[in-house]
Amino acid sequence: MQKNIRSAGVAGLASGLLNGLFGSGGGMVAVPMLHRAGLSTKESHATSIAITLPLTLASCFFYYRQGQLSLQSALPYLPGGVLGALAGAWLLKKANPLWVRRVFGLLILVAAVRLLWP
Amino acid sequence: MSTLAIQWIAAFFAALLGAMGMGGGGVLLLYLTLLAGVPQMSAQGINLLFFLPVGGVALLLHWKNGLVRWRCALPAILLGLVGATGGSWLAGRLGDTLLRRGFGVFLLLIGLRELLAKKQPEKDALSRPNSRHKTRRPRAN
Repeated sequence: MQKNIRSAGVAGLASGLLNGLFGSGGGMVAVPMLHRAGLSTKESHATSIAITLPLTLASCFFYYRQGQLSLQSALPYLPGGVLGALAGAWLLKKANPLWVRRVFGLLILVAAVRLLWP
Repeated sequence: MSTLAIQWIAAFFAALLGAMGMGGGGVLLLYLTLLAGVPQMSAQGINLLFFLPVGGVALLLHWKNGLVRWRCALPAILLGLVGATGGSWLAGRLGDTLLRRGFGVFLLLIGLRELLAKKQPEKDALSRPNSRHKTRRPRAN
C-alpha cells in the first residue's frame, strides 16, 4: 500500500505539471500510473478526475493571476460540456474503454501533426 | 454549420472524453487553437475553466458509482498542487509558440500510446469485497 501511495504521489506531480503547463493532459498521465499502482481500469479513469479537478482549480488561480483567464470566452462551451460530462460518466460505467482510446489516439495524432507542422 | 453548433459539438465531445478520464481536455484545446484560432495560452485558460464544471459533474457521478479511490487520490492531489504551481509558472514564461510546439510533441507521444493500447490485465490489489461498483458483463480476462 505504501508503494501504491508513493506512485500515486508521482502520478499527481506529473499530472499537476502538465495541467499547469498545457492546461490539459493531466489525466492522460495519471490514468496509466494509477493503473500500475493497482487500481482497475475504470477506477483509474474515475480517480484521475478526482485528482485533476482540484489541480485544475489551482492552475485556474495561477492563470487568473497572469491575466490569462476569461470566463466570457469559456462560457459558450459550458452547456455542451456539462451534457458531455453526463454522457461520459454514464459511458465509463458501461463501455469497454479500449476502442474509445484507439479512436481518440488516432484523432490526437492527426492533431499533433497539425500543431507541429501548421 | 453555425459557430454555436460547432462550439456545442466540440464541447460535448471534449467533455465526454474528459469525464471518462481520457484526455478530453485536449479535444477542446485543439478545437480552440487549430480551428477557432485562439492563441495557445488563452486557449489553455479556457480549457481549464471548462474542466471545472465538466470534472465536477463527472466526479460526482463516479463517486456515486463507487469508482473513486480517495486513498490514492489524496497524495496525488497534494503533490499535484506543487506540479500545477510549477507548470503554470513555466507556461507564463514560455510563450504561445513554444507552448504550442511542446503540446504538439506531448500529443504525438500520447497519440501513439493510445493507438497502440492493448487490453491491460485487471489487478485486484485494491479491489474490496464491499465495493459498490458492479459490472454488467463478466470480465473478459
